[in-house]
Amino acid sequence: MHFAKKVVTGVAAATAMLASATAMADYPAKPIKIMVGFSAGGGTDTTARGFASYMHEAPSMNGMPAFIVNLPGASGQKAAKAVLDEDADGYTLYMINIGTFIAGELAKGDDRPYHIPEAFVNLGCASQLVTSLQVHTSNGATNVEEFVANAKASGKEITWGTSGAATMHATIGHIFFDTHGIPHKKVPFKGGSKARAALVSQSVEAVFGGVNTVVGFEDDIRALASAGAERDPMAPDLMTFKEQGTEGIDFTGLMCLFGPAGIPEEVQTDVGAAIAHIADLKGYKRYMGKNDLASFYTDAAAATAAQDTMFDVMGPVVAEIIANQ
Amino acid sequence: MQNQCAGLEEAFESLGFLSIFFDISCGFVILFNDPFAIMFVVLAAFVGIVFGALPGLTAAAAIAMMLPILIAYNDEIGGLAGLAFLYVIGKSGRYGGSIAAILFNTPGTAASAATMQDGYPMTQSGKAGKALKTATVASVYGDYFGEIVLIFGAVWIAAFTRQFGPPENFAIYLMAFVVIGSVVSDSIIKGIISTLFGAVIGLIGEDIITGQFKMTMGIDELESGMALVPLLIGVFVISEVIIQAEKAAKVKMTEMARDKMDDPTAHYFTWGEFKRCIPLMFRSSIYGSLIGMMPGLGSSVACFVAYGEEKRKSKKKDEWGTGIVEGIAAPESANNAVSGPSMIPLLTLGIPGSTIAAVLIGMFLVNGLQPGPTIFASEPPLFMGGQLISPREFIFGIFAAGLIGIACYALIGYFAAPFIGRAIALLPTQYLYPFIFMTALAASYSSRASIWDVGFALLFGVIGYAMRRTNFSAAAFIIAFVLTSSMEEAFRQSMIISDKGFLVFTSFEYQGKFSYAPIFLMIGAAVVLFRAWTSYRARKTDAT
Repeated sequence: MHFAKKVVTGVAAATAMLASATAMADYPAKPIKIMVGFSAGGGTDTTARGFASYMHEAPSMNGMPAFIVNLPGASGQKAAKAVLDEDADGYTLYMINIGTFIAGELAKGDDRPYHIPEAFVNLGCASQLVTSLQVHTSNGATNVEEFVANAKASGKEITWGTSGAATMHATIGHIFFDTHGIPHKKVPFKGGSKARAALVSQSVEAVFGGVNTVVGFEDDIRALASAGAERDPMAPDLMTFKEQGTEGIDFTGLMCLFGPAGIPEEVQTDVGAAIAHIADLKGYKRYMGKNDLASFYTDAAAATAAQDTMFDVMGPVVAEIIANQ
Repeated sequence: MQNQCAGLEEAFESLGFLSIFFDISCGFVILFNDPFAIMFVVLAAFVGIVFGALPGLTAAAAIAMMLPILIAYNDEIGGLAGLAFLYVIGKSGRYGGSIAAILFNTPGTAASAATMQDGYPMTQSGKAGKALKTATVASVYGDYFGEIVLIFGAVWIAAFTRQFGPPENFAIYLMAFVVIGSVVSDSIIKGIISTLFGAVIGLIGEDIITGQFKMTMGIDELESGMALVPLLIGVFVISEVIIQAEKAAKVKMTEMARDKMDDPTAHYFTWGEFKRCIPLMFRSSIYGSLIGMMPGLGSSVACFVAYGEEKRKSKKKDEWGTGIVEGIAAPESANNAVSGPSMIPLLTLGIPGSTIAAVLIGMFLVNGLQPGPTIFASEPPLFMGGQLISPREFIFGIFAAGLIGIACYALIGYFAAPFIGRAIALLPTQYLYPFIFMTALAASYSSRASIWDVGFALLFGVIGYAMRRTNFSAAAFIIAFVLTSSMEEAFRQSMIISDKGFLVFTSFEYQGKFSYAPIFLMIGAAVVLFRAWTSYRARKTDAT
């Protein structure tokens, strides 16, 4: 009897493992949902849509397409929480730049709904979002020095817009104004496209937003500087903050795909391979180029390391912002 | 796709044509390169007519039930096909309502209520064919008129509204609220209550600035706010099913007085009648287009305004209501002329001008388009159907779909309206409405796979039923619900921008630039005062 029970248990376990392995080998067996935490038209949404359009072409994706669901709110946290509410089966993923993802968590302080390294798995990145300081073309400033000088000479608070209350762009905005000792007030919008519209209408004096959001609006918007240690390859003529004398803004937001913790190893491998494949596709590069976004591949390990570094860099800044609010 | 249009651009440039002609030509190129979109336009023309002709059901109900499917399969069918489908249903649904109004003396939609005045008497006198053909011609005339207003007006207005910031946006939302509240319903008080109720429901969810949740009652599903689909299904579909169940009787098509059909022109809308109606249809189309541009005012207002105005202008006032073609042509051209212009506030400001436009916002967002002043900007491109197309090209693709859609429902309506009417009359309502009820519940569930949404749909079905029985405006409720979140966002942003507190809305300047906000507030106040004055005058006249 004891033997029979062992046999039955063994067969059941083997069957379950086999079924599981078969299921994984079939991944994905249905379309994949990619959540985006911002409204349509901004940098994250644009990247996610371009990426999703090529998902079915990746050999590891079995021809399965991906579709985008926008769930804006709380600087992307609403969508992140929605991802965590789903099964960790690889059919609901989350795309966001790690800078904004981390800023959103840090801004919540002790009320944070999750801790990214524990709640999510970084599956790899296919692009980066580069923050820029933008002004309306009617503004006299053509570089950071002139902008700072004009702002100080005005003797008033500078009103600036950004894509959310606690995004990477917002964090960089705070660093910039505080570094230069310029009084300022931030106006959060639901996504980069709405912040851009506010700058076009001259309802705000500046915007900290993706370099890509200037595309098509060159008659209305002028970028003065970009973040990052090096110039954005998609805007090689735009000098960095560092080149113009502003330190502490030498990071960019890697645009990564995340899954909830507990996602199967096989899914991580397949999605990681898909990211590498898509980032190298000519069509994807052309699409990203049209949107002034660079396409390049960062594997999961390197992306996770960059993520850890950004927690160290942005942590104190965001804590100060919260303390001063 | 851009390259195909680039060839066109060169041709138009060499001819020195206006860019708008290039835009619409490009829209046709994009539409005809998408077989799914063409197929869905034709399908929408038919579906809209049928839903519009079913007593009680409206284009909004059809859209509410189909929206979850279109969103779920958006990538498979393509964004253009989905949006074109909904847009054309809105047009053909308005027309379809006239079939029920003319044949059954029951307005298929509120937009056809005025059509009954002369349409049904014509049916009773054996001229149903003439009445239906008049409705078709007038609807098509009005719809094309409105579409042209949209095509030529939207880009121009969007260029102007690019100057608007949060204070102007808030003022426009507030203006829309008071206009909707005071005009859309028979009673100002009921209209305002309907609007406020929609606003309260719209406030549920996350605070836009702080990220805190409000009025969620601890229900996780409400953290993202109340979903539009179950709300629409409840208010427009389930409430109608309840009303039909209450009636417990079949709507029977009126027996056409065939013995009276010895008049050879009884089936036709003659050339002489058409010529007689042209000035009237032109004026009615202007009324419809102007009303369509006002957020919240829809086809039902337009049809009564046109009917009333044309009757007032007529030299034969006594004949109105007895069954004359003018009595059909005026309301039908006006209610369809609303369709195109009602997209203008949506595209140029991000504010829906009608319930159908409110639903279209969701479809635009699903496809990566943010309705608002910058929507016509040429970049960034959208990735659709393996091609890169600009938002401007995409929008003009929708306009082209509208133009084709009108032609489709014109053909279907002109030749098949009597058959559709007869078929609807034969439908066993004891099976039809339970089927619609089950489909509505499935659609509620499938939008987010949430059983809560089914509950919400049922709840709002009961609420919608109560609203309809007591003459509270469902349209005002839905539009206010859609507008509230953006209005709150604009208000909070204005307060941050402002150094003057609430005075930012009444001052003609903020951030060193001219502000249009006080102008919109004055327009809103003027509309309310005018409405109050006309109500007072009407009551006084009644009393005497």
